[in-house]
Amino acid sequence: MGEIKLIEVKEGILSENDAIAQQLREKLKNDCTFVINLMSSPGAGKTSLLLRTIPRLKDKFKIGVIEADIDSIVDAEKIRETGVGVIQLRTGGFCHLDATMVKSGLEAIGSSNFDLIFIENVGNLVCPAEFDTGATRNVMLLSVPEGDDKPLKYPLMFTVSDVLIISKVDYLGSSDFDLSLLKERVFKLKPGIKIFEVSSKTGEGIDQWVSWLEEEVSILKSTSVKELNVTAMMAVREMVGWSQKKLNFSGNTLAQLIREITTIDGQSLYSVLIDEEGAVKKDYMVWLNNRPVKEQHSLEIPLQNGDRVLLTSMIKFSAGG
Amino acid sequence: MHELPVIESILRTVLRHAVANQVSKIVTITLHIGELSDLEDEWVQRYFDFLSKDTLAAGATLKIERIPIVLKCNQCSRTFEVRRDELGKLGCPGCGDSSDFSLISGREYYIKEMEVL
Repeated sequence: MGEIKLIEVKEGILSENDAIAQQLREKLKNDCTFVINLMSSPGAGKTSLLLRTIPRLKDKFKIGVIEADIDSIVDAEKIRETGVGVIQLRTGGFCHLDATMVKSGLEAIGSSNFDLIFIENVGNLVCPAEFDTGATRNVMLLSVPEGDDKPLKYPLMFTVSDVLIISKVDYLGSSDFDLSLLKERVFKLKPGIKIFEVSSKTGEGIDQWVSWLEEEVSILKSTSVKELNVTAMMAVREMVGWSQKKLNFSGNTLAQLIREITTIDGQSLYSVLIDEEGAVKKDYMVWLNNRPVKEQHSLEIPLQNGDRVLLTSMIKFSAGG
Repeated sequence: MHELPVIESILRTVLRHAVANQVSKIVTITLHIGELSDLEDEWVQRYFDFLSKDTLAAGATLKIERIPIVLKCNQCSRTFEVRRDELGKLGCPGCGDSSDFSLISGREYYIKEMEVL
């Protein structure tokens, strides 16, 4: 009989899923797609919340929904009626979604075309908590009729959530649900969790939830990497040393772009082109998509992917003359 | 509920380590599972026995060590263990504050080590 050796493994049991989730998260960030993993027990109000949320944001953002809740053929139809892209994941009655399933769902819906995607996870407070889906935010729903002791029964779910939406608050008056006790219990498990109190029936609290969501998605959108076509002519061309460039710009405005471009001797183009008031100096011209830009406020316009920028001078730079 | 994919994942990982270390048989596998997670011990062993048949891991015993939930009170810096059924008890045993905690342990879900021949 040989000798027993000890081998240290120290690997997460779900490390494969975690790796896929992490990759997914990176891709979503680069695509500027905000994905919400919506979790709750069955009947807590995920679909009703979406039906209230989507109309408020669909003119601002391109929204998609991935349905995975087991009973959700009915739900998918209701969501489809709001006019957003919906796909139904066939989970085969499985108890949760993992990163691989979410990845295939996102591929099926063409996620890079969307600003905001909601994943309606399987109605279950146990299993979804264990699996990182690669989503940007985990949002869980707890409805008032379910009771304020859920954090004691399903602590893990609260630990992994970034946002808790307490739904069906129109029931507060007629139940013994203790809101402040619930919050204390939740903060113990996840300090800093964001809590919203809503009623999809009366509309209470929906404004705050929608505002928060709008801001989060807008922040992500403003960080997108934009491919810009920049042309430098006349004196500017001589200063920067190139005449045409495709730039990957992760900033936001024209002013920021000019700040980032440097001359051959390392100086930022900003001090050359822009005066103290933040406007284009009179000897220079800045064009954005064939339109001249002069004033400070016009330089603060956010740039978009594919924009064409022209930087030029009015006088030809002559060396030694 | 999803023990099967979890056991498959454990099996893949230990077999990979076994092959890399030129092991002839895996005797025991120690898992660290935090108290916040659920894993039904009895079923885990049964599923494992079924899936590991004819592999280097056949016959291995799964040892599940449950890692306690430990909270830290950010007010007085005291750390203390909490049982799952005690999560309802609010207030730090040291200073009594119930508003500002950090979770130190309880979410573990990994394969710690294995004994092999």
